[in-house]
Amino acid sequence: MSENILEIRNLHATVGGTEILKGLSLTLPAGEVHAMMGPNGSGKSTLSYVLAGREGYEVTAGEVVYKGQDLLALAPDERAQAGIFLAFQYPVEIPGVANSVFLKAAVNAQRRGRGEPELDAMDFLKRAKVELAELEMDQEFLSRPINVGFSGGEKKRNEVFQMAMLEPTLAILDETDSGLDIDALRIVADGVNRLRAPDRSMLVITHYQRLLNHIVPDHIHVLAKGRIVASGGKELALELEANGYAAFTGEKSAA
Amino acid sequence: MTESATETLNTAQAHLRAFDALRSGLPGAGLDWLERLRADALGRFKDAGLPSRRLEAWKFTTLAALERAPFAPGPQAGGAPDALPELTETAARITFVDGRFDEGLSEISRPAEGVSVTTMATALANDPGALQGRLSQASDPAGSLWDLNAAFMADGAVIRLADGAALDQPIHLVFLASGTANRACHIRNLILLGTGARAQVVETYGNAADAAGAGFTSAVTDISLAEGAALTHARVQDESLKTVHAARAVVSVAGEAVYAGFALAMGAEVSRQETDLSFAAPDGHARLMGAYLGRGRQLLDHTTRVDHAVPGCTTEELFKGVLDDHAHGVFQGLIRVAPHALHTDARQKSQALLLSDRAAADTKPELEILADDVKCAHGATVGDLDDDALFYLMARGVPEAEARRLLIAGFAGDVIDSFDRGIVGAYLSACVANWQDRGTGDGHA
Repeated sequence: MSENILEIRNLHATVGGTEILKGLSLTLPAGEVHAMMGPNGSGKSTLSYVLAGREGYEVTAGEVVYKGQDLLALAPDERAQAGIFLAFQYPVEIPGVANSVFLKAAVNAQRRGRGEPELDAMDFLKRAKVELAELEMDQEFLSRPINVGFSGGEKKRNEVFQMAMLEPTLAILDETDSGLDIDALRIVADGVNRLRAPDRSMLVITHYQRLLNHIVPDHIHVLAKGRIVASGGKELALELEANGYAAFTGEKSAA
Repeated sequence: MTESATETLNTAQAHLRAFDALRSGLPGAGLDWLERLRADALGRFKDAGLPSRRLEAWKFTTLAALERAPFAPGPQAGGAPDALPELTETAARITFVDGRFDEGLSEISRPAEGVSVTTMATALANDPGALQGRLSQASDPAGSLWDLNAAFMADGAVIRLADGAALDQPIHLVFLASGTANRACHIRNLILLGTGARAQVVETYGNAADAAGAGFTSAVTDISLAEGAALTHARVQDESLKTVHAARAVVSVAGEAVYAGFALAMGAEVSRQETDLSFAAPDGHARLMGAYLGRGRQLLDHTTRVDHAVPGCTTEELFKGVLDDHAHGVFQGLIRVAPHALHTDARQKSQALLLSDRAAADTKPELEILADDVKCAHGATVGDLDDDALFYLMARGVPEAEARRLLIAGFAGDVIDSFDRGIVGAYLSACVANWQDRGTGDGHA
């Protein structure tokens, strides 16, 4: 099946009056994993927030079609219910709200949104335990407040755990590799790879090539100054690693 | 009678006029020391009057509602309790309606070894000597309400644990107002824990299901913890919105004893919950926590005073408020460290969440530190719901209203988690959920 999950056409977006995305276009077919690479300030995180519907990220031109419908018309919770998942670069700490309470509310809000019956506490717990074990996470994690006191690695694992529980159609991973040591990177990448499926697409946003050794993408796009300047196969990542972004951005290498 | 028909009294006048008629019917009538205590307290109240906002301790909180109407004590009226959350397990439950013991709504048949649970009226009748010197009065003119309570105290619970006695389940004290118009209730509780004793006591102030009239509830709980004793003490104020609620816990903490207190304010038009704690010997610990949840035009005040007069004691304070509509929250925290109270460690934190532009929070930390070599800190924040947190929840599919509800519960839940993760904590969380269920909850009403 070659249905496109996501089609972005000529997307322009501003943050605080400054234009960050300047005509970005991208097509993501079902079942494919695309990597979005680019230097700092190229608009990678802005793209992820625009897709998730964050307030303050204003689309000034272009369109985003998700499974045939206008994504930009939906509120953030409606997008999530429709199957979009953003793994945050900086997961938020929320004292007083237990992971289990939050995640059960999210799972059931999504099931309600799709007209499916809600999971009861037992079924929820059963599923959560399986996914936690896969990610080598302790069960007591469920009763801890969301991300409070978590290490960088634990926060990222929590994102992948939520993704596994919510089974999205489109997963956007925003610099999920940042702040991870090599063991945590392997666990997180394994978790992501396990979720690859013919009916699930992923957009993996990263600054470095190293994550793509673990999550091998079908396509790589290079983002610079708010626009895609190059697209290719996985060999593109190696070229970037060797030569830096300068060749694509038209600037001298900063590092 | 013709007099009262032509003249509107205030609460102070109504009490002063009622005293002579009531005194012979109050518990412990005929006991010299108690008669004297009541008369002295009334005399001081007569001089001081109701506290006004001119007093520093009352600068944020007005008792104008007591000036407008003649609240006064009167006979007990019956009433079934309104739907309130229940503790999942209790060692005993004592219910008072309009400040007087209601046997039918009580269950005190299972006292454990070394544990005595009774009423103030019974204790004064059977063993008055054990209470002499234990019942507090006001410590300064700003506390004239507590003198009024001492003069008129009608009933309450008396809980005593012998040395080494321990209760695993909480004792629940329930105080219901019948809603008889202009009724004042003066409740007095006493909790005495012997050396190394351990107990949990929950006080819940609510109203009868059909309560309609305005009322005034005054409640003082005197607490003394002997060496190494530990008390977990929660006070839940969920009275009708026509009520003025004034409560005080007076706590004395001996060496290595631990007092953990939680005050939860959700009801009443005006609510003032005070804690007045002093360390009687070195190495005691106090944890004073609380939350206020306000809507409409409620005024909810938490005021604490902690006296570090001896070395090596610790105080940890955390108060959180959620304020919607025009609600007004107040936190005042005084910590006094005497010159020789070395190695004191006192930390105080207050946080308020304003859900509406018209809600307001006043915070007054006061640290009077006269000793060197102490650790003291305080911090206060006032803010709106965290947009990042709201977006995080919504990005997982949780609708905005539910996300706001989770965050508000979490904000209050955080301080409950810090206080207790057992039966008492679960009860406090249920009370917060109950408050959320019955309200508009998001400030857009």
